Amino acid sequence: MHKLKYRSKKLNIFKSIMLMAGLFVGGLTNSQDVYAADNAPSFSLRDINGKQVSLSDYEDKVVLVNFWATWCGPCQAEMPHLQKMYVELEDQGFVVLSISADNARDASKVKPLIKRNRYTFPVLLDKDSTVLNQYNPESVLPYNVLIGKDGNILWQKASYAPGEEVELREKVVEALGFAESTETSVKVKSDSSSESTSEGKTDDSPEPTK
Amino acid sequence: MLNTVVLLGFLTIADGQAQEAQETQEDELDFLLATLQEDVPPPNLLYGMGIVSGATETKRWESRSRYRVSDRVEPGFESTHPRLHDYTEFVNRFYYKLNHAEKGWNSSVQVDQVTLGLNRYMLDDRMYNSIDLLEPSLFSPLPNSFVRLEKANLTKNLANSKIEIGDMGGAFGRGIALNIRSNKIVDVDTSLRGVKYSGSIGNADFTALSGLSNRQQVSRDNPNIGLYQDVPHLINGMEVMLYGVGSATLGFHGVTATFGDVSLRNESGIRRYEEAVDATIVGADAELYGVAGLDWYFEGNVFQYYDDALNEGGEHETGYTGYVSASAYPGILVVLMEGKISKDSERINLYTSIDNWEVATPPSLEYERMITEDSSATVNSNDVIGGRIRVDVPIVPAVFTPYVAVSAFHDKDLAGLHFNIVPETIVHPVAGVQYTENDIVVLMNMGYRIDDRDSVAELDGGVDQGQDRLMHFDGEVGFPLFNHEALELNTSMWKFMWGDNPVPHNDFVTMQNAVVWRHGEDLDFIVYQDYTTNTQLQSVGNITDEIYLSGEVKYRPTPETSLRVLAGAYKAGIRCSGGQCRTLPGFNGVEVAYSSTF
Repeated sequence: MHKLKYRSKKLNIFKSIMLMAGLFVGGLTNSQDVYAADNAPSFSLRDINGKQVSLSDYEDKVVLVNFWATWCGPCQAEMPHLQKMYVELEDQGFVVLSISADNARDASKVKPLIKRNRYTFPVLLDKDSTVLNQYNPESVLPYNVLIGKDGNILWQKASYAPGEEVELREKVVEALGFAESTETSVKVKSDSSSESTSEGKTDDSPEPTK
Repeated sequence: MLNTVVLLGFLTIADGQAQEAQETQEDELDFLLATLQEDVPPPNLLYGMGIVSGATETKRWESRSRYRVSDRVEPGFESTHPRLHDYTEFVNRFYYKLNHAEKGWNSSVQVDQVTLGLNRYMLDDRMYNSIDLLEPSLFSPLPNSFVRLEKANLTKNLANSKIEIGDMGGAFGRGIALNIRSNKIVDVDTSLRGVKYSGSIGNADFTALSGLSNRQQVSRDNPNIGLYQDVPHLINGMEVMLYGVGSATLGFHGVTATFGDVSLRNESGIRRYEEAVDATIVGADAELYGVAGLDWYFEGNVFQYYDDALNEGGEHETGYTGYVSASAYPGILVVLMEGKISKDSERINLYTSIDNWEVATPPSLEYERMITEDSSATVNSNDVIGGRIRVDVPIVPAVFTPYVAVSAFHDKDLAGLHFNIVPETIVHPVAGVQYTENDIVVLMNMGYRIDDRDSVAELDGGVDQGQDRLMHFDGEVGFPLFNHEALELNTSMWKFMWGDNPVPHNDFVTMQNAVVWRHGEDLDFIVYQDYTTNTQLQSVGNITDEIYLSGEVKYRPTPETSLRVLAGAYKAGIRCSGGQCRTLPGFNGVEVAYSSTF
């Protein structure tokens, strides 16, 4: 007759529950909003036209660093909203720095995607994921990091669901330092002007800084 | 503290003044408050006189707690202890980052920890483990718990250059010669632990790196079973990029690899530096912008294998891969054309693929979301020639874009895990559409892949091996409902129809579906449903053998914090990302996941 028993099973369950509870409570109490004050790590990458672009090129601007990939569905859903925001708020000192987290083997797919959607913000390539790891070690995509004019990270968020662009816009407007409640406070470009400036607009990213 | 004292003193004075003066004082108080707030340093700023003074610190913690239901039963105890082999798994990953923007350096550390619970039992007064966490090559004072300093990195930005010390990635060209980077989607994170220096002189960029491979030991999402010490392999590489050469960018790169002996897992990796090189790769690439109305990319690489296992006793001493892409934008169309020819280039991954990572991963030119079960054929770059063309029709740019694509290959490789015993010709048309307007998102793709076996009498004995066929569809629809509610529907469907294979495989259907109810931005309710008739799958459904059901709640109490609870089952299956494919095990049980940045 075989005899079988669990070894200290009740104790193990108790320890497991306590560990989970302890970790959870500990994490919650530590999760203050202090992360928002972190200095943004500097980076320098080549864009899809071979130009070198550095975060420091935009020292006096509010920068939204957007990590995305060609295979990422939610990223494709979010990017039109970023383009709209970029066109409307560019004159107020706002820029979208779009960083493709695509693998090196998929780099040829990036520019056609940007072209077909007529995106005009600068698009950078991070082939070995160096910058992605600095900002977003969990590699969740899309991932947005809002950087203030002083170079500090103001806000960051992983993933995208339809409607979340509203909160993002609020954060950007807040960072730019004006209220958007009245139309006069924001000089919104017309759709036609955005169309006319769209083609090849990535060439308007800062000149190489070397 | 000093700020607070000053403020209180000011309040006391203001309290005793007349109404008019008080209003003036309140205005000044507001100004003072604002000034003080601006001057308050970041709470995570490090003080002091040391080298880290002035840096900001960031901590991130990711936790997974799982109760895994096991299908395994102990003979003789099926009825009395049906859940004997269920066990718990706790995985914690902790990141600590320091960033000194002013001095131009940042550093990071990643520590992984895993603990198994409920995995021991006594049978006839002898202790057994349902699951062994560690193999003998890894030591831990606690046999069911393991902690490891997984990654450490220090990056220093100099005037026109950057130096990285510790764990880092590396990629040259299109990844044909070198493509080492973390791939969290399939839970693969292999880095090079060493030194990388990259800089610029005029219009030239250069990168030089040397490091020993450092494979992630603890899986965050996959079961941690039988963890073992990985063998450090030495990778050296150099790349020079010349920008602005006319309208072109030119690149040159070289890589050497010295592989460790997989039978000597605890041998120091430093010894690689005194051993002979096992393989070299040299290559060049050119990117031309707007030449003949097209953006071009060319890359060629030559592989040389010195190791007997790599070259199979001298029969495969050299290999090569050529890759070309061209994108054109005629009218409203966007056309991407890619071509590839490759021979014996994947031999470079012989020693590392058994540890689930690759030194190099060339472009596959395939639609990887719908990879076939014969992944060796799908992502093959060993002996293949083929191409792919994709035409996008942005009828309303960024709003409505249908596309068609077709890839065609001749795959002559029969080694490894290929299903076929004769070369095959592969044709794979795919069509899809992207619609995004306001808050409505529609993404759909569908295709039909045929792997048609060639007739080679000496290999197939004159018997037609038929075709492997795959029909696939995937779609994602998202739309708002009312107030802050939104709904997302995701579906993926594969139907496999197999020809003659050395290992017989039944025709089968596989589906993965999800319904996501988003309540505002902080709360999601998700129902997952998988279905498969694949009889060779290493998992069983929790509703029926073929149907898997699970539910998940995601809650984000703050932007920096997320909590997720999953209960139910999902199926095993192959998953590919970035050219890396893994057969991931299924899951049945409960998982609590938590992450926070602070």
